[in-house]
Amino acid sequence: MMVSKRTRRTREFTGPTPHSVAILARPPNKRPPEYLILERRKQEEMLQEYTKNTQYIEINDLRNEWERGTDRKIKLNTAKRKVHSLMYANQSSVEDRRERLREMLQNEESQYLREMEDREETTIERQAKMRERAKSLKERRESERLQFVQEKLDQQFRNQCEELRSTLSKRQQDQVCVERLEQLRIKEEIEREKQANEIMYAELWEKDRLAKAAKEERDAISAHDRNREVLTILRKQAAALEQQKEASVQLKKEEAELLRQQTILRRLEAERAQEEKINKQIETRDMLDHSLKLKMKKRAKAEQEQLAFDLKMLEQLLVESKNEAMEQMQKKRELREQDRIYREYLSHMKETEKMRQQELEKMINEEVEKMWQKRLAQWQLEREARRKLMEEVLARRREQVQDRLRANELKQMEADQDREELMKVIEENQKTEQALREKLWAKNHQYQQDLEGQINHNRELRQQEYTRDNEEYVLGLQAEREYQYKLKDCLSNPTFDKLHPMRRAMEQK
Amino acid sequence: MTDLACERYAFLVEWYDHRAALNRHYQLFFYPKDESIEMFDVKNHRTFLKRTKQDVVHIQDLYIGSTVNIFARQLKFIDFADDYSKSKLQQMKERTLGMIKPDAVSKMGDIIDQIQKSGFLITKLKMVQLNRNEAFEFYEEHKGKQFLDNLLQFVTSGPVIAFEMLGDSAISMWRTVLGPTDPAIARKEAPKSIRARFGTSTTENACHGSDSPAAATREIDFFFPTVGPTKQNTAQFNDCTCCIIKPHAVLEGLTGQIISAITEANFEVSAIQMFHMEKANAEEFYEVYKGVVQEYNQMVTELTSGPCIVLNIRAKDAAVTFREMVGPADPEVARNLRPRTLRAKFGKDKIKNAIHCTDLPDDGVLEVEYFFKILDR
Repeated sequence: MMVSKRTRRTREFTGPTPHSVAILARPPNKRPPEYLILERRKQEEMLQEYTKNTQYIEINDLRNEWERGTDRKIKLNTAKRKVHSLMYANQSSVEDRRERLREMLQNEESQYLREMEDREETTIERQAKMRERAKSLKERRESERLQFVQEKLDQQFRNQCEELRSTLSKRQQDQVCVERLEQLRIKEEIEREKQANEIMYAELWEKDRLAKAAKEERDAISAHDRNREVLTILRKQAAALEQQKEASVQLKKEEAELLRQQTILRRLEAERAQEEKINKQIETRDMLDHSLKLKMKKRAKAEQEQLAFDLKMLEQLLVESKNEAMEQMQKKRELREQDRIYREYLSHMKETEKMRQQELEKMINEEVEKMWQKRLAQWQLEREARRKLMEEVLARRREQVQDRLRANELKQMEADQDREELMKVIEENQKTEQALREKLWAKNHQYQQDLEGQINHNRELRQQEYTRDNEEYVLGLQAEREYQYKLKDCLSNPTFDKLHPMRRAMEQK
Repeated sequence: MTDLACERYAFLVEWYDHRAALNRHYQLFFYPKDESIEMFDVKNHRTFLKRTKQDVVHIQDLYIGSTVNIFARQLKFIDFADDYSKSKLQQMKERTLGMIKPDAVSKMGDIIDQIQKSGFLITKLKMVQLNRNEAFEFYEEHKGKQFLDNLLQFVTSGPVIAFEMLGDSAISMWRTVLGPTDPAIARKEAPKSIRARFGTSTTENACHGSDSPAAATREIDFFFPTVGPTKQNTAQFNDCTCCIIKPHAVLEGLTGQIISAITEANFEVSAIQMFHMEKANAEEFYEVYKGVVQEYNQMVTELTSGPCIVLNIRAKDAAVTFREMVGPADPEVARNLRPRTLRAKFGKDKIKNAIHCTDLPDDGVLEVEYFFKILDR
């Protein structure tokens, strides 16, 4: 869209020419002047309506709730009342029934009582009953008697019929024979079984005995082994102790040797230092002497050369002066003069030489002294270093010795401890062995007592058996006597013997 | 010897604690050597009852489902607690199912008597009217055979009495006691067998017996399901009175004789069922006697001391006539005054008087309804 076509929002209105602007009039306010108040009133009215509405709803809710609750309660109460009334009705009906039952039972009981009373029997009835009873008893007795008579008759027949008896006795004898054979067989079988049992027990006993012997042997061997083992252990422990002792002695010896070596070392060192010092001094002196001689020789040579040259020159001059006496004279004077000067000069030279000599000597001396000092210092240093080294070495050595001593001590202590422990262990071993020995003794003692008890018991049993046998024997004698008497009696008065109960039972079968 | 000396049987038993209203579980150990028992609380891991001698529980009471009263607690045997007792007792106490078919229902007294004399223990018993579907389900194995239709017709023609029996190898024993399937052959081969005595034809052969352990389990579960709905009983709630053969008489094996006596006196037994009573139920049942008779508590204890058999007896004016036949409550009195009544014949003392019968004429229906409507649901 074009810029110019955009509608303006402002109230300004541009004209065709520049700077021609008109302003639109402000539109009048649409809202009435009391707009806010009205608005507020409206809101309040609405609010009021809402509250009224909610209140109405609440009231309705409450009412409904109440109605429902009340309905429920009414229903519940009705049901309860109904149940209660039913229960009550049931209770009352039960009560009613109970009442009726009680009445009925009472009536019945009284009726039964009455009947019981009514049933008290009369004298005639009782007599009749008694008669009846007597009759029946009589009849029963008669029938019993008849039966008995029949039985007796039968018995008589049996006893008196010879044929029957002989047959019976024959049959009986056969049976007895067969049975006896059977009995013998059974007896034999029992005997065999018994023997087999005995053999088996003997074997078992033998096996047991062998097992016990083997076990004892094993025990003895094991005990012996154990003892030997303990002995070897003890020996080992003693050897270890001995070794430790030796080691400590060795250590002490070593220490003494070390100390001695140290002193020797120290002495040697001192000697060597002394020797060295003297050697050095001698050497220096020699060297100095040598240098001095060389110097002197050199100087003397130089002087002599000088003197020779001077004399040569003089001779030359004298040769020349012979030609010229005057001159010579002159020259002699001059020469004298010169000689004197020369002499002076020579003396002077000698003096200076001497001085210089002295000076040189002094210098040399100084030099020597200095050298000496230096050497001394060097020596000192060396000695110091050596001393230090020595000291270090010694200290190290001492430390080593100390360490070894300490280690030795430690070892000794350990050895002591070990020894103590060893002693303890030995003691313990001894104790346990003692306890074992005691236990074994107690066991053996117990076993001995048991055996003795068993022996006593067996003896008692034997005694009892003996007395019982004796009693039985006496009783048997008595019984035998009685039996003989009875037999005699029976023989003198023989009756029909009854069958053996076993046989009777078999026959019945 | 030592094996017998330390032998013991272990069971899981349950006791309904009515105060806490929950079932408590215990292990019960029975020592056959001296018939002593010991109980162990399973939940709290401690001994509940030290080994004690007693004369309530005997070896024949030890089977699953039996109830015993020990020191006033009624314990119900739920399960074996170890494999040893299971293997030892399960073979010794095999279960089988017997069923008296409609033709022999009238002779049930004799049949039950013979069963008990043959050494079986009846642990469950119920008279049931089968419909055709149920009968078909029961005779599933004969499906497709030609005699099935006749058989179904016959079985549904009247009520049958089903019972679970316990005994040493019970399945084969029960089959020997029954005899051959055909009563004619049975009469020749085993004249004392049940089918020989009561059967008439191959179909109407008096009784049914399971032929294998699997079949026994299935058939027992058919008549006495552990879960689900039970079979409909045959009780009729008019002109009726209630007769309960008390636990002591059941244990002594008098059931058969009592039932025979009742049927011979021309009373109609329209329903019969065995119940194991709990104390609460027994109290509720005897509610009307509370405060009337002095022996109320002992009566409750007696009724809960084991299985009892409940009969629904019908006749004209049944309550009064049957009560006359049962006789006075005290067997001593009965023996003196009414020697021919049932209590005189089978009762021992006032508590163990063999039979409970409805006393108030109006209560007959009520008592029958209590057992066959409320307890047997």
